Amino acid sequence: MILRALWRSRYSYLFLLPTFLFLGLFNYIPAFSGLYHAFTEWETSGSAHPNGLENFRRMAQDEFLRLSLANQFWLLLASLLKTLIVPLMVAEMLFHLRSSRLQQIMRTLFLTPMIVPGMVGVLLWGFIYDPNIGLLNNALTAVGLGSWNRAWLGDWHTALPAVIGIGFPWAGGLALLLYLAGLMALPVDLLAASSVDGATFWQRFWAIDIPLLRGQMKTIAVLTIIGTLQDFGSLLVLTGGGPGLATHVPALHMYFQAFRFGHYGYASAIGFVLFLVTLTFTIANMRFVTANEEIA
Amino acid sequence: MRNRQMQTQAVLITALILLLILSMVPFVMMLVLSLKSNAQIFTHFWEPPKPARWDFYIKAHNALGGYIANTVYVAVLTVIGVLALASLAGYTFARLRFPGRELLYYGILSLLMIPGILTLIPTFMLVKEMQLPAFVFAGRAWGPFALINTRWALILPYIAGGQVFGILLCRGFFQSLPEELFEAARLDGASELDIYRRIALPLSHPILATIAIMTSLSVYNDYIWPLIVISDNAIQTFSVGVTKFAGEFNLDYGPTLAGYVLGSIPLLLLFAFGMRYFIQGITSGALKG
Repeated sequence: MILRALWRSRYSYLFLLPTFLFLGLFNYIPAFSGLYHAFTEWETSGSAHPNGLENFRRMAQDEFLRLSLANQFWLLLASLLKTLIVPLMVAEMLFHLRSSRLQQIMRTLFLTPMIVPGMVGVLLWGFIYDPNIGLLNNALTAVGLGSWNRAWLGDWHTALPAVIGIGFPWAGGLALLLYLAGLMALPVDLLAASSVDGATFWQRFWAIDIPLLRGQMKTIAVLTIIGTLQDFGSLLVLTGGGPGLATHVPALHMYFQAFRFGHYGYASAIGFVLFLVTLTFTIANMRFVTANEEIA
Repeated sequence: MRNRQMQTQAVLITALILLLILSMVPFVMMLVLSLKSNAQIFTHFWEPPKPARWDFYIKAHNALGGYIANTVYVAVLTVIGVLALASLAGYTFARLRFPGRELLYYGILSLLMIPGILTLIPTFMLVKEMQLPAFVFAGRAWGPFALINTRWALILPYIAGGQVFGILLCRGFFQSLPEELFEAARLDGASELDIYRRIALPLSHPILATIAIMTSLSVYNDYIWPLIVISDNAIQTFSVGVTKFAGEFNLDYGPTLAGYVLGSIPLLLLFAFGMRYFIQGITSGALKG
């Protein structure tokens, strides 16, 4: 009986076979392998040996990791502020433009930085911060503040703020699109009612826009947190975590442990913890979003 | 009243233009400095290029053209794979009924919660060991072919990961099509594969365009994976190649920046044709999960 039902659906399974073959090989197996190897000693040469919670004990005592946590905290806080506030302001300004043509042109212009490959964007900022010919130093000199010149990414005091400054003024991108789409979807009669009642912009902003954009804000917050925790490519290229440990972060620590020192087991454990943190945020977001949809 | 409204508009437009100018600074700097020699950059930083060194673009092309072509090659094959798998699976989940459908679909959804950071190391260790076994074909012995340090070490995992989001989008799209469309074909005795090919696929061009653009963008911008699985410069991708190039020519800024401009051209073309689909993809709501 069951076999007959399965046989009748053979085409369905056949259609899904390639998908699950790929997923099994490159997604499911690695995911379980990552979970398993977090609890093993796994060095460059040789196979993995289970070693219980040893990797986690080591993490608790890892001075480098401890210092990297503080950097990660500031980077997270900064990227949340960057993606939650500036794009929302820009979206509001675009939304209140009278001319829809101008609105469209401006929106497209704000998205143009995306046509530059991510790594080029990162390298360009390295160029802006360059001590010899960097735009920032040149601009400071031009306005008579030449004494402030420094190697922004090479100076222990300014490296982390400089990394945070990348992408200034942080106006465009995905967050802007999501906010703008959210604003466009606001119920028209609500907006009309508020303007008939003579609500000022700020009254409307706090009473209508913010509550109704909460879904977008949560999505953006979670995507930002996940993205920031995982993105170490730009740090690898710009600073390598330095100078000293000034821009070191846990994901970079994981990368170095694995691909520089060959401690794959220990690196897997770091990856496992980062995964748990990410998962917590993702699940929290899903509950928020579903709760939100039920209200709406 | 009217006057005040016009004032508000003027303030808004000024603020937006100011923000736009600030956003464009790195890119204007890239274009201007890419045409200036070191001597010009050091002594006349703020002046336009005089003379403009167009030859830097030839230099940059010679150094980076190969990387760019490699990336486009990898991106095209990845997109083909993702579109084929995602549309077929999306169609199956949306329009066919079979035991275990929900379970399998949740199996795919659950992958959205697995961050790349967890699977990076194990996938690398797996790919390092993976190989096509030796075989005899046309009277010759072939292989074994190792996967690591080949383009397939990029393409295959990219297809696997890229299809997840694609399946979500395709499933949503195919579910929105009216059932009568498929019913009629079934009554005419068309096979499931025929219905997928003749009816579902031709209707799904917009959603496929969206997936193609999102996939190309993520392939083009990926840095860490090619960095660890590709050691042969001849098949390296642009993101990694450009960091090496920036290192080699570190003291010759013009050609380095010209290389950045060249590397942006494929994405420029992509957006020129598909900005609309890209915006649809982001705002479609599929990202909310």
